[in-house]
Amino acid sequence: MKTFALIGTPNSGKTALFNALTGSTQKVANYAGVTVEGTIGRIDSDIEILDLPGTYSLRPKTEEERVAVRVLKREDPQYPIDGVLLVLDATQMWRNLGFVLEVMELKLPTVVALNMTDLAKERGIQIDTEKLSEKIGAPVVSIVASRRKGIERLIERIRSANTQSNDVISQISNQPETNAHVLERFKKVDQIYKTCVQEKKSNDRFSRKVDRILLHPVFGPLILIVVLGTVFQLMFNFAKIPMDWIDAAFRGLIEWCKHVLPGGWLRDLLTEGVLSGVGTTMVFLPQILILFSAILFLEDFGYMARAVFLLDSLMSKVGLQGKSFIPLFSSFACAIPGIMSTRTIENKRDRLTTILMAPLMTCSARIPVYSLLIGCFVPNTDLGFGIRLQGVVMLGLYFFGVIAALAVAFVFRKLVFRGGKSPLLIELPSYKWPQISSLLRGIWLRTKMFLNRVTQVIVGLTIVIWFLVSFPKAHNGDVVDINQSYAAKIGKAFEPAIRPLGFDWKIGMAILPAFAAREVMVSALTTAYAVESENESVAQEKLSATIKKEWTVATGLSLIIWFVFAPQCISTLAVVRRETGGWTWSTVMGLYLMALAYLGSFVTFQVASRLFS
Amino acid sequence: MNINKTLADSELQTEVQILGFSPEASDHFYERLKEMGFLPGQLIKIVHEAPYTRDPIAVEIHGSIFGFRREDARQILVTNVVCDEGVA
Repeated sequence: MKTFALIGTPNSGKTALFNALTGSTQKVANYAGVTVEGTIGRIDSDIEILDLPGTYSLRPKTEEERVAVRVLKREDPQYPIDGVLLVLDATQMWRNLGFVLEVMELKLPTVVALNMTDLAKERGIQIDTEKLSEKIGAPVVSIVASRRKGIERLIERIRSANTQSNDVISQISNQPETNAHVLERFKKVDQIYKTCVQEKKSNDRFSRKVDRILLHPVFGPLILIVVLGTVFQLMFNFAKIPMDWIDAAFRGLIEWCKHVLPGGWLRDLLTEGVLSGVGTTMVFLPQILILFSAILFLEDFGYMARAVFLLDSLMSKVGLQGKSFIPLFSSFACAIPGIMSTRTIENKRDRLTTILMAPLMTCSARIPVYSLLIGCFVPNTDLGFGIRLQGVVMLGLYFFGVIAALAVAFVFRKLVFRGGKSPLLIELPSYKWPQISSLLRGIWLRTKMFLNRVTQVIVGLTIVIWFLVSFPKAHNGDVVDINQSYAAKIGKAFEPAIRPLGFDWKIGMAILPAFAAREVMVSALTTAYAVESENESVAQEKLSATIKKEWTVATGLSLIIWFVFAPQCISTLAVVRRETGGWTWSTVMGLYLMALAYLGSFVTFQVASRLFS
Repeated sequence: MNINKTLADSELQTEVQILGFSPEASDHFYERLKEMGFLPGQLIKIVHEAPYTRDPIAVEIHGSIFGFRREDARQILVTNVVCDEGVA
């Protein structure tokens, strides 16, 4: 089996080509030591294609580029490649040629796929592929990856590529290139460009027109606000319906299990433990899907780069740069894919600061907790125009999270990551209609990260919680007395520490499992207050009633603030450890969030209990 | 001919030619810029400025557009194209 590495600059249509070549044979490729997720697929039983992250040159500046370059230089023992499949954007020939020459210096068998030749033709760019092939010393095939044009011919070329004598290991050093070397390469680029490419009007007039509107000094920012607002609207209103379906499906499943299975602890474990736990998490799936679809659509279309451009000066006020925007925006769905998407940030300090901010964005797992607590402790006063106080408080919590994150970034930049601003450099690519297949692939990759939590954390955790609250069994009449359980003992042990925050041992008993995953809080409270009902929506109502009766307003508000800050997601901390290559930064994150949560709740409770008593 | 002009001071939508980089320009950022083709002799122009602060700027080179900050553009020395031709 021969392995070809698929490489290209960002926005060159690499993903579309990969899909066209390998179809349904794709599987995930893991690179040792880093979590950059790649994909590997097969053309046939002889040839394998390894999709590498896009890179602008062989001198990597980001984590993703480092992975790509390591494989290309055959320094990754896991993927000893036999050749290179280099994809070029035919509409950006001049810039791409520099990269081609660099790749050719690797002296690996190379096949060049000249992509988007239809667009190039439309824009009056003519490329002499035969001359080009001669000049760079590798076969060049014109293709249109999105429409599968030229793919057969490309495959033929890959098959016939001579991969026999490639024990040569490239001599490219990792030192910065000398000016002279780059100049020399681009002299060659100029020369090749002049002989092989003829262009009448290289400007992409459509993109120029769109940019005149989207980057307009007045309309640009307004459009950005409308776009982001629309995405949030979709996430909340559109997702409601499928969320109810999933909820109903899990309830139905639980009911069914209760009917079919014989009674006993095993059935209780399955229904009250595993199924209800998994169900609470799966309910967020529609929201996650909608937000990621929107982000990926905007990214593939080319708008996200414009958003970065528009937001850079705002972000630089807290010492960050525009590129932090996409990870932070993703974190509104789930911080895990958000943190993973910080890999495109070149500067290490910027990347770490962005990672540390990510868990303060209001992720979807906080919503059920906020909804329950706001429903109980904030009166739903009509503020006029159909605006209600509860909705305003919910929105306020989103803003509070963002402001807290910006403040945290500011402090970290002042105290820990000192030094000047790091430069911004972002390509504003031509606008393109996104391809469904590449959108689906991206959505699936990100959703999987979220779903992994279910199998890796939620299932095991719910079993543990269930055990702790169910044993030892002490009966009080015919009801199980939770006061005697292990969970109650743990809660009581912690009570002195959380008393100043207005929390009693029952809340402590619910908070503790929520450290693994926030959404567990609601079901843990249901258990802690021994709210029992056959029907879960009745249980929810009963829980609200109990909470309203047993807690003061101050306790409720204090708990809301606790959930804004507390590091209650073990998967996030695990991802930070993986992404930063050690426990240091996930410990820093855990501790600073914990400190803010304790302080925030303490102040809230002390102030609120004086105000509302 | 105004030799000391930098890209940061150049006008919107006006094509200029790169003369070189100032001596302070020597980190990753400039290395990448050079890889993108920002080299002496090439023609570039500012095509957009971000709202309010007029920073960052979007610079066109050979049909590609890159966004970066004005303060970083200060290290790129440029000259007006018209002057260049006039001298020649």
